[in-house]
Amino acid sequence: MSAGLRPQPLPPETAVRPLRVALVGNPNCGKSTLFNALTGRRQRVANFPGVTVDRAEGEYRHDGATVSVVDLPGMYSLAPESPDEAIAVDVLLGRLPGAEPPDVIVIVADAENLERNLFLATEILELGRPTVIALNRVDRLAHAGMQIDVVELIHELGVVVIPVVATRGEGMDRLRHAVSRAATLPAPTLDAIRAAAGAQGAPAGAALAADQRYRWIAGVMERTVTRRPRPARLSDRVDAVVLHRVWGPIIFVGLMLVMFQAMFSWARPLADGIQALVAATAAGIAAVLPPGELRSLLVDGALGGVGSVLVFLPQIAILFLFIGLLEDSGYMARAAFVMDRYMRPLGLHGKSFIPLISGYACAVPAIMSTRTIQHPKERMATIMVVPLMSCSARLPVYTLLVAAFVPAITVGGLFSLQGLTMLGMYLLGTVAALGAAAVFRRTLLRSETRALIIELPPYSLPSLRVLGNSVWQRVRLFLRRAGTVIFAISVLLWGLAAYPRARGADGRPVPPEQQLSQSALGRIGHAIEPAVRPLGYDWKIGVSMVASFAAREVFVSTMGTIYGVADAGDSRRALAQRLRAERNPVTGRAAYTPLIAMGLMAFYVFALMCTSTVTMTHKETGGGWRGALWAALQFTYMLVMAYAAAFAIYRGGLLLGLGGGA
Amino acid sequence: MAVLKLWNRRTKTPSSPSTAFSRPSDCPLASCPIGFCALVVGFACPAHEVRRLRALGVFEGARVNIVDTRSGVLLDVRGSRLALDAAVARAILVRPAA
Repeated sequence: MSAGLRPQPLPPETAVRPLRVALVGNPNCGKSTLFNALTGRRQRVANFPGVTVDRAEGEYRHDGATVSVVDLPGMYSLAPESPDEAIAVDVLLGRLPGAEPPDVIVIVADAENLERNLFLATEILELGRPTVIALNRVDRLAHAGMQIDVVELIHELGVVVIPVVATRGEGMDRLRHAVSRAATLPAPTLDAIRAAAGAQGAPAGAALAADQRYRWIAGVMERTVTRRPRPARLSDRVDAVVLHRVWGPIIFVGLMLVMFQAMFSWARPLADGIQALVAATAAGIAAVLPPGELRSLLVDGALGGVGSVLVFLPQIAILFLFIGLLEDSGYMARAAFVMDRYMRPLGLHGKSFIPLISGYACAVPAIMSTRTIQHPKERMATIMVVPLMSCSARLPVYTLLVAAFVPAITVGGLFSLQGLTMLGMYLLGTVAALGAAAVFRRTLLRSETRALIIELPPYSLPSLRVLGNSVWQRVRLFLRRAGTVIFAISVLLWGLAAYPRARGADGRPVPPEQQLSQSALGRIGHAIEPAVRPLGYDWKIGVSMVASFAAREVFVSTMGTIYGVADAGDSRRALAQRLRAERNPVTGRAAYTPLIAMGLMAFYVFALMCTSTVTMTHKETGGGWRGALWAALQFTYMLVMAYAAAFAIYRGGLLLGLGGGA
Repeated sequence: MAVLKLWNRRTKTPSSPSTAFSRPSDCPLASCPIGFCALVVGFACPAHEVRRLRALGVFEGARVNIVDTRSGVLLDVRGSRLALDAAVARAILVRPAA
């Protein structure tokens, strides 16, 4: 065979590694939707090396080659204003150690907002790297009264422009093709801008002034875009209500109420299903294995612990679904704007509100989301107080104690007392978070409150795929935790509770109560009892509290393990009943009372019992010893508040003559 | 002129705008009425805020429409909506766009 007929071999480096593509664009330009449309299911979320900014990575195959895509955080210009944007710029410029620069840059531009999007686009084109522009949301142009001459736009910019509709996956094949070709074509240059701005010959790297850039863009717009006046946007009419001085906050509170209602009532059938599944598994194991150590380990230890936490999966999924809905529909930015007025007196920014709200779900992503706050001290203050917002891991604790000790009666014919108690816990945490923020901003983290400059994206129908994906990422994280940390702690606790084996005088096993008291776990509990006694707790609660310093929900699984209730049909209700029925072995009175439960819930409202949060705070406050100091301060101040609150409630209640229990 | 009408009709305090109009001069964005179309003249805020505003399309010479002023200022910048708090709005100097 002659050499001329053989296909040209690929250059060695592209042959061995996939083509690297980076998606960049303004926030709210539909970048993540495009990322989903491009890569489908083949994606994962990780961190950029050394920092904790989400790095969404995916892959697709085109023409037999693998292309790896990274979705960079949204940005408005190459002069970064927030840590998030700084990472994106570093990746683009290949400055981030451990992350190679992309082979092809795909600029995602919102067609409806082309002029503003071209600002960033021209900055990136000036880098002189292989680039493709994905002109997104072209389907909305007609409605917006716009027409874009794409061919002319390609001429003007000297780069391939592919019209796409990411939400419907339109134009993806052409985009994939253009990306593969761009890698082999000469990179674009934007000498035209420099010429037009009279800045030709300016030293390389010297950025054009914003007004010069916009002037050039205005010329491009004039030659490529035709507009006709359009009627008032629906978005504006909605905003007139949503951003209203009075209606705005009312709507916001209303939405929050719906969210909590959904979490507590919609989740119940699903939770019951999981509950039944756990019980069936336990019954299945019990049917196969003879009574003994192994059966006890599997049923009481592993299933009892993990099962009692798994039932909260539906609530966590619903919470993240709501947060995703608010975010993707465009409402979150409005909430930040509406709430800015109320956050300002506390020294916080409207943007702090989003991390605080996310804190209701989980402090870990919430702390990560503070990266959108540009000012370091406002960001630090937000990080320090976010864990006071009652996260989903506290739900198991609240739910158990409320079910056990708050009567299921209706107040005022409308609200259930249990629901009100739950709401009260959330309010307590929220008020504490806001108060603590005000204190931090007036002491350790004092500075002027910075400006609020925020884009309000047009309202849009969230994409189910993007939404489903983000919920799944969170659920997977929770499942992984339940499968690893909580599983390990459950088994360890089972071991500590089961050994050393106590034997009666006749050498026969003693009743479970006595066994527990004499086990290693019981001894630890007795040892710390003096510290929790002033709060009205016995050693069993003490043990569960100590175990839950790893993660709050472990409190419930530990109580579940201690009382070995997994094999009962309905573990949560069964555990609640066991707690109510528990008697002090000496006095014979109820061991736990509503007063103790209130104090305990307050303790969990304030205490930072979550290793993941401590780790995250350490990373996000600078790492090293500096981060360690902040993390230690956060842990300590919250623990002090927790102990003080539990003490005040218990002692105050006793003084008022309420039941003190054991 | 539509702008002239808006300027006269929408302004809450009757004394100041007439002088502002008769002698077209720079005024802070914060004191513009709803529906007003303004030309950005300059900034009196820190450099990083100016950078952000420019990246978002609010640069010297840009034309912006005031959509709402009831809480902070809501702007229409070439079709996109930009929300500013009152302090930033006071630091942006504009003049009526002819």
